[in-house]
Amino acid sequence: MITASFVTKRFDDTVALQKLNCTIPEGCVYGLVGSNGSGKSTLLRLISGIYRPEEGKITIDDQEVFDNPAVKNRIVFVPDELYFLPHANLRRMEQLYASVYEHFSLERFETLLKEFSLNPDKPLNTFSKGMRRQAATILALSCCADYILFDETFDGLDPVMRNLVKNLLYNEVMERKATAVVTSHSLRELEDTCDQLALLHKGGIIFESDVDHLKTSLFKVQIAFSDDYGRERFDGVEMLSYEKQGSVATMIVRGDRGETEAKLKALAPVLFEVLPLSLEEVFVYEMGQRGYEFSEVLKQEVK
Amino acid sequence: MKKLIHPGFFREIFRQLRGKGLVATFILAGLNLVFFSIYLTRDPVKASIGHFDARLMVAPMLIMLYVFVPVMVFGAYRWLNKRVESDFYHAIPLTRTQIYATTSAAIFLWLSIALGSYAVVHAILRTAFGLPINWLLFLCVFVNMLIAMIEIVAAFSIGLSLCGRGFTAFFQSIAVLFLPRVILTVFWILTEVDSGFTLPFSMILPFFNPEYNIAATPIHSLIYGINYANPLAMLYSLVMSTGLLLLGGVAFRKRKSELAEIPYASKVLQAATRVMFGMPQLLSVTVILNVWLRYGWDEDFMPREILIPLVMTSILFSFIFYCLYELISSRKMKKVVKAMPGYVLCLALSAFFIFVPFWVGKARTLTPISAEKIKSFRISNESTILIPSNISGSETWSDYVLYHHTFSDTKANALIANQSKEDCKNQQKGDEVNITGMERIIVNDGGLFRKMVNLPADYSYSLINFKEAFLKICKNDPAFTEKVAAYPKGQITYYAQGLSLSEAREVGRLFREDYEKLTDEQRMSLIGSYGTVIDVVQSKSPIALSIGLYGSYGTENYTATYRINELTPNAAKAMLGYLNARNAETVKKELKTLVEWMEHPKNDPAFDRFNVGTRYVDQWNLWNYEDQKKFATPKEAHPDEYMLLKALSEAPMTDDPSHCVTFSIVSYEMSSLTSVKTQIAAAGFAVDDTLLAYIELWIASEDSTEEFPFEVLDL
Repeated sequence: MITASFVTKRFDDTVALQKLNCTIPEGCVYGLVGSNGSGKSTLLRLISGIYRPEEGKITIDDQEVFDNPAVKNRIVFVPDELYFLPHANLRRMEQLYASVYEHFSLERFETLLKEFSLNPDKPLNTFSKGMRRQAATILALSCCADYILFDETFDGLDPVMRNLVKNLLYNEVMERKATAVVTSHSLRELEDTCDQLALLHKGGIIFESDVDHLKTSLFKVQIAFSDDYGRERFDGVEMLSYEKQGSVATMIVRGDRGETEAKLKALAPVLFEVLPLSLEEVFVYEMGQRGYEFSEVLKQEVK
Repeated sequence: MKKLIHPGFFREIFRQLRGKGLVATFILAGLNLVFFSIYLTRDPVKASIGHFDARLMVAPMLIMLYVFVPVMVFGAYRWLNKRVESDFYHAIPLTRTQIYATTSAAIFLWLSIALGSYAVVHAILRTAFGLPINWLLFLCVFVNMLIAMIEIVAAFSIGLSLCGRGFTAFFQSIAVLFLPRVILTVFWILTEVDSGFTLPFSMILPFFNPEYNIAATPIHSLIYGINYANPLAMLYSLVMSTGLLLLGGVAFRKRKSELAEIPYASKVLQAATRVMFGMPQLLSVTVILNVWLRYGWDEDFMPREILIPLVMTSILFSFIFYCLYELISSRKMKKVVKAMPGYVLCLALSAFFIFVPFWVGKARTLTPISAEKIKSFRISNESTILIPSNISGSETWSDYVLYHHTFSDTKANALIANQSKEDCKNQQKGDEVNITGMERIIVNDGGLFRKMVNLPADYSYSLINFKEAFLKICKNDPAFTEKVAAYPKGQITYYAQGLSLSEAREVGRLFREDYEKLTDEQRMSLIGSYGTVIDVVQSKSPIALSIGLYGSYGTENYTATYRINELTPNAAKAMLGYLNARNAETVKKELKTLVEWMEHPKNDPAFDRFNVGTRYVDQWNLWNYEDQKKFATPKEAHPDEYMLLKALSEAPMTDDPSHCVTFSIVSYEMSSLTSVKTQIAAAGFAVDDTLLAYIELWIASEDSTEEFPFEVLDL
């Protein structure tokens, strides 16, 4: 389990993370979403032991990460900007990784090479952006690390490769009980990938939740009655928003779906429809509840 | 505990440095060939003997130290200055100590390969050319280079650990490496430049001795040369290099990963580097003002109307350089403005150099040593020549013995004490002393450190009397005489003008046999060559032959020249035999040409000249314009010389040293526009006793102004 306790990281006068707390459980895909400069990459670099926090601490199973090879051996980090050794090909990278990562699996490396159809003898600097990311993914997954950190995971991958990487990540989590921490500035990207999501804004996590719970606990209801009615008719139902146009009311409801449905049907509506919400819509409403403007928190998203 | 040096990571870094390492190795090997060719062609006699010339051996290695080592360190740690690369290396599961130690090891291995291959190629070349090697000095030079290498690697590792950009890293490394040494050297020079009787700081603490910091020594060596066989210097440098390497490790461990692409982390080092950029422009003014303080103002040397603009311009330039460094390194005008007040450090340091060395020098030069306290003394070889003799090879065996002999003499002690008082007085008066050719006497007064008394080469203040008296005492020391008279020790090779290498060796072998049979007094009479010796009894022997030898003893090289005459009959006979076989016909031909020329001269005397014995006979001397007005031929103008030359040209050749005179011909040949080649031939002529007697007389009178008494010669 990764634990960040009151972590503060500064770069000169800029505070990248401010007293951040979070816990990333084992065996899940944990998504970190936030706009540029929200602190996602900094948090990953802290978790992977590249940076040392100015205040607070980052631990993995109660052990500090920074300058601790025993822990770092259990982590592999794929950054947003990839780096490969000068003039290297995948074979040479494999040699370095195999020598420094205790659990590096050559067998897995060969398997992944075949899956991605990459030539291990071709210099990496001749690879396209997407191929370089595939190469980095192959190396990362071959390390058989307990914690796989991906920064802007799917950047540059075509849809087929995205699916392949996603599947591989699921397999890592399912079969090896590994933990994947992935970041993106795009919520849609993480929507169908993550088990848990955290939203970073201005160096802090402002919202963290289980994705399934998010999706099932918030839903849209369209309802109409033959008589005139007001909001007070729905007392007892937790509504995040309520709009009425003519006789049809649209509301975002939080709560158990079955119970809420039963409660509303009992009011004998002439129209009753429950619509699922996209994760983005869920975030918009949840942020609104917390006093944030979603478009401010995820600037990239609204562009 | 995990291995300090990680094999896999080591393999990778070693591989990354392969290009640079191979280039360094090949360039060093190439330079080896170039410098070896220079060595062989510059002084073919010395080269054929295989005399060890450390300068030629060291020059390529210095290039390696100051070019390849920084390139290698920058190559190995370049990732520290790129954020993406820095993240990659910091993410891998190795401790920072492991990364630092492993990277350093890979750098050292490549540098050692380059250095080692240089040594091997050098040794192969010497062996191939049949040139002997002083292995001890050879080893010393390489140990020195290895230590210097560690120091430079460490300095650049510190610089790179404290900076996130190449520019600042480079200059901060330079600051770590040189700034303390430059400050010390300037301080040392300004303090010691005119000290007569001193307790030099360099004798108190190695830290003050620029020679002791091998990596930074070349700065000092520009003035004083390098002694590669100083164990204390090696030890000091090793300790310091190791310390710096450990400091580099600490800096690397403490370095924030996010420093990549950020100019610097250490504000102190950045300030020091700025000062380093601002100081050189002030240095000339500093020295002028220091001299002014020391000796008073000299309007002729530096008029005031020049000094004030010079000071202002220097400060302005210094300030510009100071600010420029900050601007280039930080790329922010705001930081330049913030750094401006720190410029006062440059001025403070200059003021320090102006006043403190003067005060320190003044304070410490006013304590003369008393004769009673002097237990023993020895002559230092540190200051008599600009480049230490063990490099240049100019030290003679007598010098070697002199510098390694401890004297103990009450009269000499009294002289030293008087000299020290004299020096103190002169210091108080502020008299300048010429340090060129200065002799240094190292005095042991029972204290922890030895003290030095300097004997300036300036012959004013009756120093000449002191020197003569002092040297006489030294020469009369029986232990010293015995050592000087003993045949030189160590690895010895011979050379002689006009002889081949193998002939010289044979003559040298016979000379040694002859020499061993002589008394100390006879041996002393053979030391030195004809015409150049001032400190031995003048020989009356007409055989102006000598054998030279180059030797290596311990870590030092020396030269020696011995006369060959009737005291060494076997060597003389062999040498004359070789010379006659080679040169007899040529010499006779040349003499006949001279005789013919005296009979039928050309209108314009050429610039050819001839040696008779040890004396030149120029054609001009035999046929100048005055002669040409009065006489028809040189023969008529100089009948005695004509008869002597004719007699010699017709005399038979001999190898009998007791009835023989050597005869040399020196001719000059223009080999290029810039150099003149000298060809020397010598041969022995058999002469009868009468001729020999007069030639002896002539040779003996060579230092007098009297003319040779040709009128008594009846040929």
